[in-house]
Amino acid sequence: MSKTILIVDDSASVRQVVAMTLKGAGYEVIEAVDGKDGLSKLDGKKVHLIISDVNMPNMDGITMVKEIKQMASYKFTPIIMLTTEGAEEKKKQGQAAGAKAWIVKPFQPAQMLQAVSMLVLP
Amino acid sequence: MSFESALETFYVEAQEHLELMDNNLLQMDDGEINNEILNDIFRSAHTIKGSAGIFALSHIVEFTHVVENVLDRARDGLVVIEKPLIDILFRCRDHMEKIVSLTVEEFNADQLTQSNGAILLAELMPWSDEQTKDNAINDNDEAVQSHTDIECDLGIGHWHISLRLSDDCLKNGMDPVSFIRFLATLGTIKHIECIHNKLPTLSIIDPEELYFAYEISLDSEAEQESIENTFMFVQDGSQITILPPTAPESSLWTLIDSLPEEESELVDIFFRCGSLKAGATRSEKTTTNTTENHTILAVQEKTTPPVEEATTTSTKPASASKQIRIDSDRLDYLINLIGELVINQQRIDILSNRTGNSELLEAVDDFEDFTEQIRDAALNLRMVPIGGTFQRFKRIVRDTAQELGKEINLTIEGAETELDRLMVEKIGDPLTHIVRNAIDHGIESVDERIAAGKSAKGQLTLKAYHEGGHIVIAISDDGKGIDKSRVREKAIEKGIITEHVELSDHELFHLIFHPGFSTASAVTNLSGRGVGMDVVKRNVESLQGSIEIFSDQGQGSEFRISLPLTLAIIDGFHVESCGTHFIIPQATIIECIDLHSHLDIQERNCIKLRGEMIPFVKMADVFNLTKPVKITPLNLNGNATEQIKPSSQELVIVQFGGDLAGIAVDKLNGEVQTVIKPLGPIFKPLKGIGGSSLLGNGDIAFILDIPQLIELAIGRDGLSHNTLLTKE
Repeated sequence: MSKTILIVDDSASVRQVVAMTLKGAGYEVIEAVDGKDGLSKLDGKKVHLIISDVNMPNMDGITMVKEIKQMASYKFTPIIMLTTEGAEEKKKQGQAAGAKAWIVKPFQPAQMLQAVSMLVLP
Repeated sequence: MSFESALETFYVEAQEHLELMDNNLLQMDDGEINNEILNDIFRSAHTIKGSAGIFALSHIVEFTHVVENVLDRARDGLVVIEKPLIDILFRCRDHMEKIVSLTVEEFNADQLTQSNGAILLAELMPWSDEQTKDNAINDNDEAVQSHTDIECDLGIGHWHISLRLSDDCLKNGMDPVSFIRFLATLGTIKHIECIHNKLPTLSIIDPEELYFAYEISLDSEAEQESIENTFMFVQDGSQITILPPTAPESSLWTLIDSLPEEESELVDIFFRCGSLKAGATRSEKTTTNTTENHTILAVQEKTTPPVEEATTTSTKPASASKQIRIDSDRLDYLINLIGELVINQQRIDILSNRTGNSELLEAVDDFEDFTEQIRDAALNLRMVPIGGTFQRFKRIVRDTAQELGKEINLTIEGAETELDRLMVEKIGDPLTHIVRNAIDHGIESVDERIAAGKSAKGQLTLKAYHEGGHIVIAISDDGKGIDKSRVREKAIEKGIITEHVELSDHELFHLIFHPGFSTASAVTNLSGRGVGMDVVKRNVESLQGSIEIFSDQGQGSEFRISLPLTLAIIDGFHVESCGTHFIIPQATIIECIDLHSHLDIQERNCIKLRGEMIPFVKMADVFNLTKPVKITPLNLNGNATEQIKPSSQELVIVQFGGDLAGIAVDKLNGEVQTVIKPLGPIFKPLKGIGGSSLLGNGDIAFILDIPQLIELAIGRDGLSHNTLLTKE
């Protein structure tokens, strides 16, 4: 059974590139367009990793991460933030909320894959 | 899915964000400045920049970065949004639109765009906290080209447990799996690597001996003590190492050194466990290890069979939103096929009718029903709301009004009205022309308006709605209206009409569409660039539509464009003349009458119907048709007296715009659904025919262009039959 990764990003092209990269490596991918959508897409599904943007409409990434960390079934699901935000302050916020890794856009797909495979193998 | 298709998505997405930015900027321009709008504008710039970076479109990243920075500062309240800034942001948005359309190479070759960008960035400087433009670019070049900034904080709850249990562990009743199970109760086991190097060949294997070693990564918030307690009963001879989340990286290396396996193998394992960071290697080994990591990734990519899985996942309902994007070519192909289906269905209809088999007929009837539904559903796919096109006018109106020093309020109604995608694309230009005309010539300057007792702000309304099988787009203003006497003077001056001609208002307004007609004495930069209203009319007619003008002097004008619902398939009325088949679009037909019960003034090709004079044309005359040979050949001078069987003449009364006219044919065959097949370019000059179509029985029918035929009937270029007579 391949591992499932939830991608949360409001940019369709970013989602497409990330999804393409991950599917190419053998992961299953679920996509969500913002934090709210991300929470609803979880919906009790077995998700092994979450990759999320920070700045999104409806619900931003950090709020979503905080919410996810409150959910018993996803408490330990590793989360990678994938964002253009490079500010230390934001990173600290993300870390405090429970994000495991912080990838700054623009990113090289191969490097993202490396970071992902550190947390979950396909 | 390929990189190219992702890039395509980026362009579509960037365009959407640019439109969104435009709308939000317009709202700010209207004085509606709040955090939500600022946030939205910021996010648009942010997303464009972020995505452009992924595709290494550095020229977009460079420019957008500065814009984003200013917007970010505005969001934080460090910058006050004021009129000059909004103006610059508008121009920045336009510049972004420009550079999004260019590839990096094109951009590098385009000096003008580059300098425009530099000027804009310089103008943005007062609001930005970037020191210099060069700095911003350098920063970003680095970001685009060099490394990806990945930071992993694997410290949170990540334990690494290394198990080298003694060989006789199993003999002593200890199952290593039970340790692992217990560990799982303390947290989540993220990864287990089983090292089986020591496993001998089957012939010498001892089932009671443990050959396996384990590397486990565990996510847990448990105390170190409770994790250690798991292995309380493990006897000597085992090497158990527990690295808590807080353990420094060096302890991992110490562990690697202490383990019997090869270092390179352990590095890989630890890496997969997530205990070792990417590229985090002992300093002197950085290069070798990184390449190793890469090779691992490469192998993984090869060994996992991703292709099938990828396709199965994509068909699962895992899509991000309820909307999907489709290539419009595919859609057109589907519509084409359905067109063929409709024709075939009609063929089956005809053939089954011949058999008289009632069961078959019933089945064919159902088939017809579904075909119609499929047709409607497919055509619906092509429908898009006109709102997107209307939105664009907010900006056009703002810019045009600003340029002319006028104040204009734009109201949009019926933005949700749906139109064929093709039409939405093509209607933009004519609409722009009319809107600019309305602002330029229609709506007065502030002073004039106040003098006329109107509000200082002019009102322009764009409205779309359904009306009798058509979609109407109305552009109305409350300006000074069309000056009829000036139109008349001008028309006489240009030799379009003579002085004695009496024209109705409707006919007079129609003169505006005459090629070369322009009432504005001063040609401004905005409208009247020699491209007159005749082009607008032609454009609308090429979409099978019509345009009408209503105007009250001093009160304003309204331009009403009416368009068919779709261009691909129409409900038509099948008629026949001299053995040639014609289709009259159903929506234009008012009624059918017998021509010879209204013989009144037939010599002039005009009948009196319920007190109204209606001109008509004969198909046989217009297209110079002759009857098939077996019927007596006919002299076709258009004189009714020469018709062989005058009693068989039928007249179809059609309406287009405000004009009524008749079309005389031999035979009425009834309603049909027809798929329009455009005629080749060679038939372009042919007036009166809009396309062709295949009938169910395989015959070809021509689709009549009603507006052109009506013009022919009432006299060319909007002048009535009467006028022509007077002129003669």
